[in-house]
Amino acid sequence: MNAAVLYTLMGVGLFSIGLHGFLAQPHLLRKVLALNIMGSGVFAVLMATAWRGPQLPPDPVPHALVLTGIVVAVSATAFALALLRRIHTATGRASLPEDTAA
Amino acid sequence: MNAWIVWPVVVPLAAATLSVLAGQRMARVIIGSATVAIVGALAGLTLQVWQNGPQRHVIGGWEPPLGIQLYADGLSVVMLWMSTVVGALIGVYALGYFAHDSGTTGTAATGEHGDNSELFWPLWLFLWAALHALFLSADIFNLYVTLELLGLAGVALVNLAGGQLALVAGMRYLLASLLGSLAYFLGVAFLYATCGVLDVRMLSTRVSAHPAVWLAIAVMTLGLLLKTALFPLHFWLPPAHANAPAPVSALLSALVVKASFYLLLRLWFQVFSVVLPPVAGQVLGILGVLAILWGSVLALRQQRLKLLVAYSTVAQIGYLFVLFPLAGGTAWGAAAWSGGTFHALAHACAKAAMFMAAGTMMAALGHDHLHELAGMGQRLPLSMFAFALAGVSLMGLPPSGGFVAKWLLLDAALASGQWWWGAVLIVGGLLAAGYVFLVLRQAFAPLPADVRYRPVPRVMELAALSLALLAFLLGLMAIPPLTLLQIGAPFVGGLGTEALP
Amino acid sequence: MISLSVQPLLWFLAVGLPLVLAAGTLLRRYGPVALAWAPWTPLLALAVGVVAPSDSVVSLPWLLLGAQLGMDATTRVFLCFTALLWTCAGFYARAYLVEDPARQRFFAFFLAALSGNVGLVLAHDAVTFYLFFALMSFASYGLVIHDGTREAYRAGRVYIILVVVGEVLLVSALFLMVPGADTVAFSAVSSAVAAAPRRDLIVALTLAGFGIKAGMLPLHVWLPLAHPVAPTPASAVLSGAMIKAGLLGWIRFLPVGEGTFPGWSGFCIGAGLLAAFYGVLIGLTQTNAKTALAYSSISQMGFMTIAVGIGFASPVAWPAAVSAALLYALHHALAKGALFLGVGVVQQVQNGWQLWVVLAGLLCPALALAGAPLTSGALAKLALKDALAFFPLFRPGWLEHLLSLAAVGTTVLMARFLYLLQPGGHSHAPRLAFGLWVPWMVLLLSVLGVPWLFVSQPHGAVVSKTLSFSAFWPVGVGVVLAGAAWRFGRRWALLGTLRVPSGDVLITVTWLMSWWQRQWRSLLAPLMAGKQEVWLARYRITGIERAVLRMEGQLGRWANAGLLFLLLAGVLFATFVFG
Repeated sequence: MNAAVLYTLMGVGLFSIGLHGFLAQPHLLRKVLALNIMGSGVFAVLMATAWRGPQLPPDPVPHALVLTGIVVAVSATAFALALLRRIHTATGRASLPEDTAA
Repeated sequence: MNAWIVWPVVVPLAAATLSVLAGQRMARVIIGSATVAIVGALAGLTLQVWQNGPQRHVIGGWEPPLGIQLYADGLSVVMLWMSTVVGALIGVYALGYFAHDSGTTGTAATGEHGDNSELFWPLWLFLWAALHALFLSADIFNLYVTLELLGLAGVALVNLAGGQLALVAGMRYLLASLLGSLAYFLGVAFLYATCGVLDVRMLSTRVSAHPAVWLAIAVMTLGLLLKTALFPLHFWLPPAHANAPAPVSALLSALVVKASFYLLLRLWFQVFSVVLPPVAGQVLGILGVLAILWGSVLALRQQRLKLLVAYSTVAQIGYLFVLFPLAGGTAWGAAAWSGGTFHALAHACAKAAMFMAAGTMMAALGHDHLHELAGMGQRLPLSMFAFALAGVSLMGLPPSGGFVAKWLLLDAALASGQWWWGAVLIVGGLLAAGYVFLVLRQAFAPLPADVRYRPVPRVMELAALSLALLAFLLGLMAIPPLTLLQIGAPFVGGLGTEALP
Repeated sequence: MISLSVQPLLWFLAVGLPLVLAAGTLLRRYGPVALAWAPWTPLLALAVGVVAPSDSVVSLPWLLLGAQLGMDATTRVFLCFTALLWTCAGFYARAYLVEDPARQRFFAFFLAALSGNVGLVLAHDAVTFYLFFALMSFASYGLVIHDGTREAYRAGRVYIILVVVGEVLLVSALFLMVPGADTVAFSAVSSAVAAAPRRDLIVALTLAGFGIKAGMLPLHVWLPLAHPVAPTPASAVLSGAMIKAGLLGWIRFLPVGEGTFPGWSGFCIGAGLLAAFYGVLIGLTQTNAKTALAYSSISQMGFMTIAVGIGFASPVAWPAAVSAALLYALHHALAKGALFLGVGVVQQVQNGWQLWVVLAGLLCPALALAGAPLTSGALAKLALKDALAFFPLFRPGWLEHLLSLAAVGTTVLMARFLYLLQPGGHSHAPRLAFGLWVPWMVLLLSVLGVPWLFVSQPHGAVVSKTLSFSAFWPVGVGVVLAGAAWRFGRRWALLGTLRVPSGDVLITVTWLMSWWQRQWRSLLAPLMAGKQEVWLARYRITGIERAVLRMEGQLGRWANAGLLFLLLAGVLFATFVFG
């Protein structure tokens, strides 16, 4: 097993942990964080693909993708947090009704 | 001049930014001229594609993989026209809707944030830009970015309504949308890891039967299914579409769900077709059938008009996926491909008209409870007429676009020997008739005397009626879009209309 | 003669102008103009019917996947009576509704239905036919509910439910038949259906789908509800012209004349006979003149169903059968239209003199329907009997006797109708009454004259044939029966043993019928009273409903959605691996 595969598996693992948190945690802040963890998992997979060999320079494309991905993730997170605040102000809760009913 | 392709994306993007900076009055001018510019650019692009086949454009001369490439074929152009025409008419409707809305103080429709309406215009333009970028992007990572843009603009639009229901529905929509995009993004990472390219065309030559590719296809597909709200992943759609302001409901139901469907079409039939076994298409087809039945049954059970229309969207999305099991064979693939795409087109017009008509009634009454719609047939005859015409398209009766779409799908179903898909289309039409008449029956009941009713701007009714007429008459103008769809389509050889005269 | 290049324009106007005017009536500014032009528009269709050369086809490849309009013998007959009836009804409606505040809405639906009716007659391919058929069906809903009464809305509900059911049946048939045909042109459709693997299913769907329009038992239930509640001119076109669209659909789509189908032949003849008698018997029990006419339409459509049945028997019989069906359709459309319009004219009469004129006028179409000698009804019966001569399976002498028996019933029913008329009660100004009288008179003259134009044999020979004993006796017996009922019915009523409306002429028959009806009420009453919408509306099954709603709630929980997400991803992955 080489390093790239290891990093890829780690990325998939992060994604899975994030997914579990996203589905299982009712609190919206935790859901948003879980989405960020999933995103980091994808970034890890991409970073692993950049490795082309011990002597070769890394592939720049995945770096560009991750950078763009981070920008997207930041905007989405900021938006989700703002929405979360408004929900909290309006309803006094920080979770969705389907998660609080049970 | 061969860069027409850029403008459908650049114009709404620039106009969105400008309209935020400009004042209220300038914004109108900007939006109007932007719409005209988009239509012009699209006309130029259409002509190019019609004459010279699919168009490619490398932005700034930067070749892929680092640069961004735009690509337009018949399918993109048809989708662009759909989004431009439907989007523009929704914009016209919104003019009346928000003018009417600002006159209201604290109705159920506006909630405590009724003054957010000026944010509609930039968000609507951003949504337009994202849609157009998605229809023109040629690499899977850019598609991810456009998907995210689309999702964020969509959620922000839902939240314009303010109010608890809309905020919660918007959050659910946002979470589902982000989950879908991330699943898609994971697939992109896997594909880049195995194939080393992002460009759609190059990718299609490099994909091979490899577990990582399969995994990538599976997670990308599921992410897109979630964003398209295919049963059983539709839970986020009805509350979001029903609680948004009416023009937003129309935008989301008519256009936004079609974006992820479009992406699935591209991926399944132009990128992954070599590694996909036919049985995979059957899985999507079965989900589509379940969506038709489930969505229709739930639409019949709704007490609120906008929820009924939203569940109808859940059902109508199902039809789009009937294309997947049918587009397998070369002999009937073209009919299925054209039929499914045409359905997207017809549904966009019909559903936008329906949501607009529903929004007009809601604006007049202050609520949308089905059992209190009596007399709407007399009060708002144009809106009811628009609703009924759109309903005819959903039922699939001629000469509507829905009829042509079903016709082509049925043709493919029978030609491929899979008649049971055809049977589902007919049952779905009957169920659609059920829920459309549920509304019409209420609306044509005698007018009760004691109902408070506010007059609504005529422009709202006319915009809805234009789209409904378009949906209704789309079948009469089916040949040009169907011909256009063949340009660059995966199923060449035949128009898909050989069964027709 | 109009040159060939003008033809397409004329055809297009005949179909399109009513639609344009229909839209115009809804606009405030153009409403009066559109209203003024409305009654003239069917004349364009009449012009097409008169001047268009036979076997001409206009192709509109850009319209609806390629549409074809065309003219053949069938089209010409249908177009002539359709246009004639719509013209008379249109002028009649202008006077009839002059005080109605909602007359613009009426004319919007009237014109849209007219466009549909003319379009379907001219259509030469399956899709175009179906398009106009749907337009006509949906537009006439507005005619049915026009008066806004409870009965009108109930009739409208029953009607629209059956229209939608019919549309679904037809679209299913269409989808099944088209893959076998290279084109959807009518020339290819019949033979494609005859050769289709699911032929019997297609035939059943087509029979039922158009049967709803044609009042085929037991799909006729909407007809006696809807035809009478509509304003009188609308009743005339519904019962005279639009009902024939079902027949035209059968002629165009069924594989009649394409082979021998003994089963379907027997079915259609049986269904036609049943309708012929059933319509008369139930019609006799009615107390509303227009309802009696509607039942008579069901009965008369039965004869046309018999003609279709003969066509199913063998290709040899088809030419005779189709000409019989066409003649029947023509004759019935004009006669029934004249009868319906007469109902409104009777309401206008101001003195005994006028009443006698109207009754004398109404006697012509009534005798024609009964098939009295020298009338168009006798011509139609003659044609039907000629067609029976070609019937290859057996020589059904008894069938001819049954047809004569049905004619007896029709005679009695017509007598009953004339009795039920209520003179006066609805008086217009003399000028407006004039607006009712003239179209009605024109239609009466058409009943007398027009059918003879479509008889190909020498008229002298035909006249002598219609003067036969077999034409005389059913009418004679019917008149005697009706007279007896009138003479003795009153005396029996005075005995007080029977509960009947005072002075009912046809008391005997009514008593028999109401006895019969009582016996079967449990079975038939819902069908007769149009209560079927109650059955259809009861699709709510609360147990299943609750389960569905609970499951929808479960699907909305994040954990379940996530599990489904993963499960489906797994299923897809598995199909990739093992597929």
